[in-house]
Amino acid sequence: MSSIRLSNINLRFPLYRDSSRSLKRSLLEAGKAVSRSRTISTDGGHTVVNALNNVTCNIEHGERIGLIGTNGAGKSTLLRVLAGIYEPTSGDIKVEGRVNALLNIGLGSDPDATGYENILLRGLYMGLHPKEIEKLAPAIAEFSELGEFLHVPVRTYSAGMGMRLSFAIATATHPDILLMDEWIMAGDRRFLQKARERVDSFVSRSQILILASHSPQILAQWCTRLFWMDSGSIVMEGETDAVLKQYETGEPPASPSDTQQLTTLAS
Amino acid sequence: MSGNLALRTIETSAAGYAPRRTNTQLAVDDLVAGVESWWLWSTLAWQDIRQRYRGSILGPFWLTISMAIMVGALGFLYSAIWKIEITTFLPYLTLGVLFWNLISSLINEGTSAFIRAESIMLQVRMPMTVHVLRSVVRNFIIFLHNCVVAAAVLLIFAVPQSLYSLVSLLGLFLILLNGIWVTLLLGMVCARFRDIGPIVSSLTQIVFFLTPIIWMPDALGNKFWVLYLNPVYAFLEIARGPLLGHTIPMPVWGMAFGVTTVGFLVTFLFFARFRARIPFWV
Repeated sequence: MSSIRLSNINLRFPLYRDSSRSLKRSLLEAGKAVSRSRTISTDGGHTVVNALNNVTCNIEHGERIGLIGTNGAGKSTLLRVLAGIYEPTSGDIKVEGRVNALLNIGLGSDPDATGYENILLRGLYMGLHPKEIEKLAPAIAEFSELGEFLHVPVRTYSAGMGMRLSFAIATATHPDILLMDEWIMAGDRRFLQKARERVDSFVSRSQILILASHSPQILAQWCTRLFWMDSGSIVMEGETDAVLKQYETGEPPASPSDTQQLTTLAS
Repeated sequence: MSGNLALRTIETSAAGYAPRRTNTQLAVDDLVAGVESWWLWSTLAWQDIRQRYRGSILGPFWLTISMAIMVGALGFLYSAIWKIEITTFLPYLTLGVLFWNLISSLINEGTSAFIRAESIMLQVRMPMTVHVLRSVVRNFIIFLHNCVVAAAVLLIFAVPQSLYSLVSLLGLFLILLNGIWVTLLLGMVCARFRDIGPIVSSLTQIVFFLTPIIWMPDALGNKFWVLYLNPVYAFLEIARGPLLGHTIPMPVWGMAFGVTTVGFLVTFLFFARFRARIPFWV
């Protein structure tokens, strides 16, 4: 049984090199709706990003969780923490189950290598043995519908083709927990439908999907529970419809966890 | 209300979390997991090599050819300058250049080991050690290509070999072993400070001239001791000397093992302290 427990996860990281550019970029990422002083502060000359603040949540098997929020709200950062890429500065994290993450359309692919070679490479990244990947390759090729394109370097692929390949690889390996970032939108309607069916069967086997997006439509279709993230905190969580309704208003409800987080920051 | 319930569940289950592992334990975990996934870093290294063959039949053999040309040209010129028989000088130069190319490429590619791995590092959880071993193995494979030149020269000049020549393999092993900490340390430092990479590559060029590769240590006369300030000399000599019938003096062994030990210790301390920061640096 897969499950995810996060308790008071904080993630702060200093921005070092080319600070003006990085700062500018992070300000842009923080988005206009964000109160900047809460996200970015300076500490001994370094610019520190408070990427996640006291994130606490429980996710049980069979759940389809959506993360909603503006750019820079911390959705992708949270996915990276769940994938074990970023280690939180403080807090406890317990993830049970094998995690596959589709965070970036490239997924560390080698642009000059062919589609087939990338199936091997990404299978390796996910911890599979070359022999296991060989067995999975035909199924991946079929699901991706890339056909002859699999013999061509992936640098020639369109965004949608790249997404199809990445999705096919990530789901063919039967992860317990699937993390996806919003680029899933790159697929065409028919493939999205197919992808959703695969995710449905996947979640019905008691596995977990976590999808980050700023698109209410996609989240309404794919998810049963939403976390609304803002400035690195979960400001609201609940049933998809309820959270989306509140999200449309643009104002998160004043919740106990929110005030608690503000006092923690002030101290 | 559901939010409050969820909070209570976490509080009660808080004791169920495993105690946070210390930075040192996590660094050891990373090293062990990294070494254990040998099929991962060896395949990645081979993939890098295949990349070099793509669009070019010769692939890394271009490097081998350029090495052969360099050795041939320098061999004739410098044996004349130093007034040393070419039969002595050319094998010496070839082996020197062979092992030097390995050492310098370990150092120079070490500086970009993590920066190059950025796209993987930010997508998939993987021990940092994997990126290090990938770089070391890739350079070892290229070294094997270059061995062709050295083998040819040793055969043509009929350099006598004995059982002691096998000590050279120990020298090679020491170079690769040290390549691991050098790659890990430089990989971290250069990911954090981007201007250090170019500085390292200029320094490496200087070290080439300071190390007896195109000149022989005897030329130093009574200033021979300066070589003991150059750690690269120790590794180069252990790898090269036995193939030329030279016995390795004790101080050279001491220096090689000393550098290996201190290098790993210092690097491990750095690694334990900064390992979790690497994804933010790249």
